[in-house]
Order: sequence, then C-alpha cells, then structure tokens
Amino acid sequence: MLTIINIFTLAVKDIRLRIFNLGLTWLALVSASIILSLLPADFGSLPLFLFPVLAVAFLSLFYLEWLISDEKERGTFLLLRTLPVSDRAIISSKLITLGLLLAVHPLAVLPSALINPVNLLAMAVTGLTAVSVFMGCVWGILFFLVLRGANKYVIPFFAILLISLVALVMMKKFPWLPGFLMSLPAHAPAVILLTPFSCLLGWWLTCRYMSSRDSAELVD
Amino acid sequence: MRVSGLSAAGVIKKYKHFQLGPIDLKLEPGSATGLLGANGAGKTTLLNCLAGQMAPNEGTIQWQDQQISLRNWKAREHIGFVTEYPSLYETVSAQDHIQFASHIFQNWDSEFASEWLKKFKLPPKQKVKEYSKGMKVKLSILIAISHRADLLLLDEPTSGLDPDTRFELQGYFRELVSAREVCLLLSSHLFEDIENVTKDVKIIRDGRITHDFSLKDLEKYVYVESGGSENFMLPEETRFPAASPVFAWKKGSRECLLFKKDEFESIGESNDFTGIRRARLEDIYFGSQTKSKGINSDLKS
Repeated sequence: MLTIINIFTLAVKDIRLRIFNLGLTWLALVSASIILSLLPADFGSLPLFLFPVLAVAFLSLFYLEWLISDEKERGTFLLLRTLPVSDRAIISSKLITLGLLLAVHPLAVLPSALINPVNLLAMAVTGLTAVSVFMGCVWGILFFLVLRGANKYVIPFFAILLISLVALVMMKKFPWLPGFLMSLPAHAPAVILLTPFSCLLGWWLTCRYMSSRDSAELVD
Repeated sequence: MRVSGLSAAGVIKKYKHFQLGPIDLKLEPGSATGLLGANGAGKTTLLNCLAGQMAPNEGTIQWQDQQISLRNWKAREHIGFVTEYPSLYETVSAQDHIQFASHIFQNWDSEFASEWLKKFKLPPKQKVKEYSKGMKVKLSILIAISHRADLLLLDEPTSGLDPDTRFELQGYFRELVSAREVCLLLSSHLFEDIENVTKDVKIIRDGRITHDFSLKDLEKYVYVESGGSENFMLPEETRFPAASPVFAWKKGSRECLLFKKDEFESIGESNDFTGIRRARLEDIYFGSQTKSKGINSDLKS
C-alpha cells in the first residue's frame, strides 16, 4: 500500500514539474487536431491520421528526456535516492507518468471528432500507436538511464535496425518460417503474451540496473 | 543485532586508483563528529557508504537495528544526508519540495518543517532556481531533518557559503544535536566548522581514518614553531632528548612541532623557538598529513 502511495506521489511530482509544458503540449495537440479536421476535403484524411501518430512518436522522446535525462543531468536522482522509496517504485512511477502522458494523445483527438467524425478512427489509431510507443518506452527508460548524449538515441536505433535485419535474413533463409509460426496452434496467445513479457523484462532489467548502481553513477 | 548508534565494520570501497578503508567506525546517538581530510582522501565516499548511497565492496554498516545498504531503502527513514551541491528541483518552490517529501516520509513532522522554514527565512513560494546557494543548502537540510532523522550526515554543506551563513548553519547544527539527540557526522575542509559544531574529530587520509580524537584533547598539546634550522632533518630524539614531538612538519621556512604539554614542560623553552601556543585543530590536521616526519601519537585511530 505504502509503495503504491509512493509511486503515485512520485508520478504526481513528475507531472507537477512539467505542468506548464504539458498544458501547452495538450493545447497544441487539441488545436492541431481541430485545424486538421477543418481542412478541405481535397486534402484527404491522411494528415488527420498522420499528425497524431507522429506526435506520439516524437513527443515520447521528449517525455523520456523530461523523466529520465533531466533527473540524470540535474542530479535529482540523488534526491530521490535519499528518500525511503525503492528503485522499483521510482521506475514504476516513471512508467505510470509516461503512460498518463501518452494517454493524453488519443484524448486530445477527441474534441476534433465533434467537427469531423473520421477523427474517432484517428483517435483509435492514435491510441494503438500510444500503446505501442509505451511498450517501446519501457525499454527506452533503460536506454535513457544507461546511455548518455546522442548514444541514447543512436544505439536503440541500431538495435532495432539489427533486429529487423536479422528477421529479414531469417525470412529469406527460411521462407517456411513465417508460415510455420502462424500454423502453430498457440501463435495468437503467444504473440499477445510476448508483448507484456517484453514490457516486464524491460521493467525488471531497468530496476536491476538501477539497484546495482551507486547513486553517484545515476547522475551525469 | 541491534547496535547503539552508527556502526561500520570493515567497510571497503574499491576504485581503480583508490581504495577506501577498511573503515571501522562507531558513533553514538546524540554525538557530533567531524571528518577532516584533504581532497580525494575519501570523505565523500565514506559518507556515501554510511548514507546507503553507495554499496561498499566489503563490510557492513548499521544504524541501531537497521542495516544500511543501497538496497535497504527503508533505512533512509532514519537518515538525513546533505551534500555540498544540493540536488533539488529548480522549477518548483520550497513548499512543493516539502509537500512532496511529506508524502514520502512516514515520520514527516510538518510542524517542525514549518518552524525551520521560518527559522531559515526561506521564501516558501519562490522557485528554487531563484534561491542563493546558501538557501538551497538550507532547504536541503530542512528536507534532511524534517522526517525526524536521527542520523545526520553532512558532506561539506558549508563549502562555498559566505561567513554569515556558515556561522548561522553551525548554530543550527549544534541545536539539532543538543535538542533532538541527532547523531551528526560533518565532513568539512573548514576547521572552524568542525570546532564550532563537533566534539570529536576523525582525520581521514588515503582512504583510512588515521586519527581519532576529541577536541578536548587539544588542551593537552602545545604547538611550537621554530625559525627553521638545519637540525630539522635530525631525529627528534637527538634534538629533544627529554620528549619527542607528536608531530613535526614544515610550513614554508618554519618548522612546526607539536608536543604533549606535560612533556614539553620538561624540555623548557629553547632559544630556537619563535612561537609557543596552545595546539589548535589545524595543527593536528597539518601534522597528520606529514609523511616523512609523522610520529605515532595517542591521537591515532
């Protein structure tokens, strides 16, 4: 119970620190969605879908900067470490904050749906993107915590590139593999389970990394 | 096992080019101890280990019945830790910090926090980025003590502060020790801080506590300065057959010696001596830092 209170106190603190920036972001997202829904029909509905999706992807990097890099660079991880909260609570609070910040995105599309009902679909697409980005951000927290400067962007990018390349090579070399995997009786639940498992693994590794580091090693 | 106060046993922290310890230490509740040492002697590393901010490679640290370690975050309820550069959120106010900390600490004393906020004359609604360094240190101290911490570890908190603020803080530290029975360990470069706040002193050098004494012990020593003669390199036994100095070191062209008071009386005054006075903390410190002429003494740890 105490840990849950601590996690939420930490999450509220993170939001409180950026309340002004977050307010502006929310306003910009809502305004942009409304403006896009007012575009003449010959523009097509692509901008309506593309903007919120791109906004989620780009802003998630800013959120990671606010939540992790700022604490590292300004040394406030040292303050957090003097408080009676576990490293797990700190990491979990970051995830909850991130989840809340990303949840704002599909909600920001909602007012524009009053003008253009197509935006309800755009909202669903944004929601799905936000969920995917959130899962990526679980690992993003680890990368932002471990790596410094441009490395925190470059290394994950190359890691994703490498995984994609390996998958492509595998598919080329074993063309029967995708079909085989799809024919497995439990393939659908396995894929569904793989996602939360990956998130849990990311969270666990991040907590493990943090608890193995002296406080001074957590700041730049 | 419950120990009284703070106990560190065989604490070792290894780095590539430096090793802290082994350190054995015992501090009683309600005691005030100063930690003196040169830059890189290991003061900050030791305080970080004692505060549970750093995992030692070997040894154990305990406060009363709580094991202090990086992983035992619950022990932080008992510890107040203040560093030279306070880590605070610049974009929010002191009030926001206090509110945040009050939700985290179980033993947070709101009355005490408001009392000390007034005492420190900190504007509660002003953003921390607009605070001076002294004000930031005060806020940091306020957060460190308002949860009724009974172990207060201060790592050069007065470094870089003006004399007025330093003097003011010294008074507050004394008050905390006397009124709240806080066990205080103050690391500083400033002899005045140590003399005005603490009763016992530990000198750390090359990662080890080399000297451990009470400030009261200073009364037992005499500092003697001589013009600097060629005799300096001669063994002390030859120069002072009646008593050997506790420390002997050079300060520019002058020779500095520290004698036990009673032994010095048997030497009598030499023409060579240019100054004689009661020993000060700085004399013990400078003496303890000499490699070539350091002589074993009862001040040793």
